[in-house]
Amino acid sequence: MIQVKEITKIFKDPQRKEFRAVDGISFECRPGEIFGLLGPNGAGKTTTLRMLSTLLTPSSGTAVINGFDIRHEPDRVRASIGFLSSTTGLYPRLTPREILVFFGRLNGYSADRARQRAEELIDVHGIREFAQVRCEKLSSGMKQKVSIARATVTDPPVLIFDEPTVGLDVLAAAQTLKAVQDHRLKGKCILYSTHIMSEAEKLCDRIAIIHQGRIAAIGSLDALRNQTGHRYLEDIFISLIDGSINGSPL
Amino acid sequence: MNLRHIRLDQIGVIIRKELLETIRESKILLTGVILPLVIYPLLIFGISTFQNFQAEKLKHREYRVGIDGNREELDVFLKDSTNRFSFLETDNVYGMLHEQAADFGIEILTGRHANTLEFWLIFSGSDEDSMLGQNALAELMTKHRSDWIRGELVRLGIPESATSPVTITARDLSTPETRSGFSLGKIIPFLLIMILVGGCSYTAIDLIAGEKERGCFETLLVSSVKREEVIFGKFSIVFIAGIVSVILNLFSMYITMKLGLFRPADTTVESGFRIEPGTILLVFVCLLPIAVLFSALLIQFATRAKSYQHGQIMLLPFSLGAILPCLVAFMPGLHSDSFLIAVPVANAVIVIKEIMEGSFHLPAFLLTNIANLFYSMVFLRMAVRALGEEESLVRVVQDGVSRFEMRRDPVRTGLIGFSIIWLMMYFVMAPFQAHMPVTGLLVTLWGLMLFSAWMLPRLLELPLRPTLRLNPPRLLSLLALVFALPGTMFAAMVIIRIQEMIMPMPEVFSEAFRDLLVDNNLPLWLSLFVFAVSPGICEELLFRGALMGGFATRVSMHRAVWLSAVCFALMHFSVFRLAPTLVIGLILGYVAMLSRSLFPAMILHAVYNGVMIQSGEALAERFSIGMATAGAIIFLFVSLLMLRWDYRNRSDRHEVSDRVA
Repeated sequence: MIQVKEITKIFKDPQRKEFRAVDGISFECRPGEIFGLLGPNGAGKTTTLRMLSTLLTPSSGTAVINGFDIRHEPDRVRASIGFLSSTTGLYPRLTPREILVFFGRLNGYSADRARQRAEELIDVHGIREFAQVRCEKLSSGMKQKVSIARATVTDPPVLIFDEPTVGLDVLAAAQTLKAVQDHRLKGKCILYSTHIMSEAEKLCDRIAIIHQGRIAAIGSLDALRNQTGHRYLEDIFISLIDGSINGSPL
Repeated sequence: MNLRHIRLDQIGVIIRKELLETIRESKILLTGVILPLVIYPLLIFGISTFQNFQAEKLKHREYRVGIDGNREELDVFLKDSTNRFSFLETDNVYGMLHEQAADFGIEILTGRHANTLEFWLIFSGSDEDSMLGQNALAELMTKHRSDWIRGELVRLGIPESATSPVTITARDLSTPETRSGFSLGKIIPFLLIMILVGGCSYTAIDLIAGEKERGCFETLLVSSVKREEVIFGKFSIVFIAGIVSVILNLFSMYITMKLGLFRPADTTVESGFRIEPGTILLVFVCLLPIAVLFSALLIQFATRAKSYQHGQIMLLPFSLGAILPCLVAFMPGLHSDSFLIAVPVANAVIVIKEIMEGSFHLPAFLLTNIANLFYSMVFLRMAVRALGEEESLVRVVQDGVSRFEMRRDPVRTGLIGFSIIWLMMYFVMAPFQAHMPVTGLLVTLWGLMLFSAWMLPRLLELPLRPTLRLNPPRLLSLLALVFALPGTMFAAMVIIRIQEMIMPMPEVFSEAFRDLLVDNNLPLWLSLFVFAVSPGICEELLFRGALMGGFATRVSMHRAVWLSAVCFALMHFSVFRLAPTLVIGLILGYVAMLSRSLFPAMILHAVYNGVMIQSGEALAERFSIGMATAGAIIFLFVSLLMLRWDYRNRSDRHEVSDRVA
């Protein structure tokens, strides 16, 4: 469902000549799978996700999402994905219902169909109680529920989550993780970026550890344990990052 | 930008959503709806009522008058009107005013001439009470003096006409409406443009920079909507917000005028002024392309802003830039048949002013709106392009500082550096040069410019020699100068002639210029060193060296040449020399860029200055504008061919890069 092939993003910088935010990353993510991108801040996770969502154009390499190339068919790629970031991306002066109808209409639904779909999502995500309240008055947990509903308005086959639990309290974070797991059960292909080890450990079927724009290791948690000899993901992560800093082959 | 695939229904969806958000924002409602509606009632009930109240108060204001002399002499002229003045007798009026014991004073001098009286009114021009008091007294005295003279003439049996054998009467053919239009025509375009800016600006900043800050913009761009659809949707709302503000403002003005309530502070304006619906409609039509232009410009600003606050900071230069062309309404003698017709916003201001005055010229009206529509389309295209820039899209605040902000942008740094040099030139070097022309110029060139040319690459952390293009020139580049020199001279002649037709340089300027460059009593060698060789070296090192070299590390070769040429033109501090220096700057820029060496540009600059100073006027008289145009095209084309050939075929092309970085 997601095939990333040697994707690279270079930002031009007159002082450092060029800055490789992402440097030849390749991975695959299948339907019904949560694929984790784990890395420290500035590792290149957000840039990778921005390229996959066609917000940025890769300097080289490409990716195919739901059968569409991000370089040649960006419109179709965007129609195939639901994108969610930590900022929630909700319009503060609109209500959750208005936002859901708006994104339904943007994705080509008729007015009636968009309203019908909004009501479905309001029920599914338990947001009826505050569906008529402007988003600026909602708590962060409520906002994140609305954001997840917004990302799935068109029921896309691919979901991309960029650190969705940053800034949430424990309860709201747990509800978000539950929602992500529910979508896996529905057969969605989920790309999940985080720097929180426990989340990746609990949620992800396979993990790519990313550092300085490159993949340090890739595989299931068990495979990473075997590779590094460490039990916990935090230890695995540190040993791999230390290895790349000390010059060991990635 | 591919307009064929734009879906209008999607733009409609975005417009509806933006509209809903916009009307729920109190700041936008305040600047876009409430202010335009209340501005005229405010003028009536606020400022004008207050001014009328103040004027009434002043009528009954009592002034303290220090009087030195026989008070009875004064009473003859004031009769019973002395209740506004309390007279304080003194033998030192000046001392009294100095101690502020009186508002103004009178010295009465008698016996200086036979049968005459002389009053000296002593006041302070920097004290409002003193000025107003002495004006009021002088007015009274003048009135009573006329009555007194008339009485004396009757007493002596002399006809009144003996004192005024010639009568001059001025008859004003204007009506109260046209007089009011004449006065209001200055202020109304200014108010309308400001209302338009207010209506558009907050909406643009909120819809783009605000959404970036709130994280909504990225969400919108990763939905299946196209970027062109996003920009047109947002642009439409900014445009609508501006136009709604203008409509409300015009409506408020119409109602206020219709009710006859307008009581402006300007006493020449008739209070019963009416405005016709046709006038309102014509003014509105003039503002439509301006609204498109402002909306497109603001969309660009907002796209490049990192946050709402950053967007507001960027608004300040925009607002100042919008005010400047409005000032033409206050300048006497400017009409729509001048060069202003090509200047955006200023042209509309002039046409609106003329419409308000009742002099509507259809060709000027059409030309203005066509020109402004053209400009607005150019800016709209640039706005769409700005949204395509990846840096603009991801330019958001991250931990207080954006990643892109941390890098030193050579264009921004170069322009900031140039602005500092420009300010130093204006406030320090220009007064110095006015006082000591030759020394001042030499200090400017060999001090300020040379230092700046050395400093700018250091600030940008760029290597000095390649940035300044201090590479040895090649033979073909030098040979190209044989054609470039006459080409540059002919091009300058053509531009100067065209400028003389549109906006001739005042005689006082050209004479001062001739005095400095030609009639300066300097030996020839010194004159050539000061006005030809020194600018050739120092100005080239700064403009084609440091500035252009810095710009070229970030933008294309052509943009770097144009940017440095604009800086070069602005540094000459004269609107009359702007066009010629811009063209010369462009030629020098391309010579430096294509020859990959600064030396040919230095030689061309120095020789051009030398020849023009020594025999520029004689050459200009010898060639007609047609011959000069043909000469410019032929010579510049040949030199360009030679430089391009050299540029493409040199063996060291990979060693001497266009781009330093």
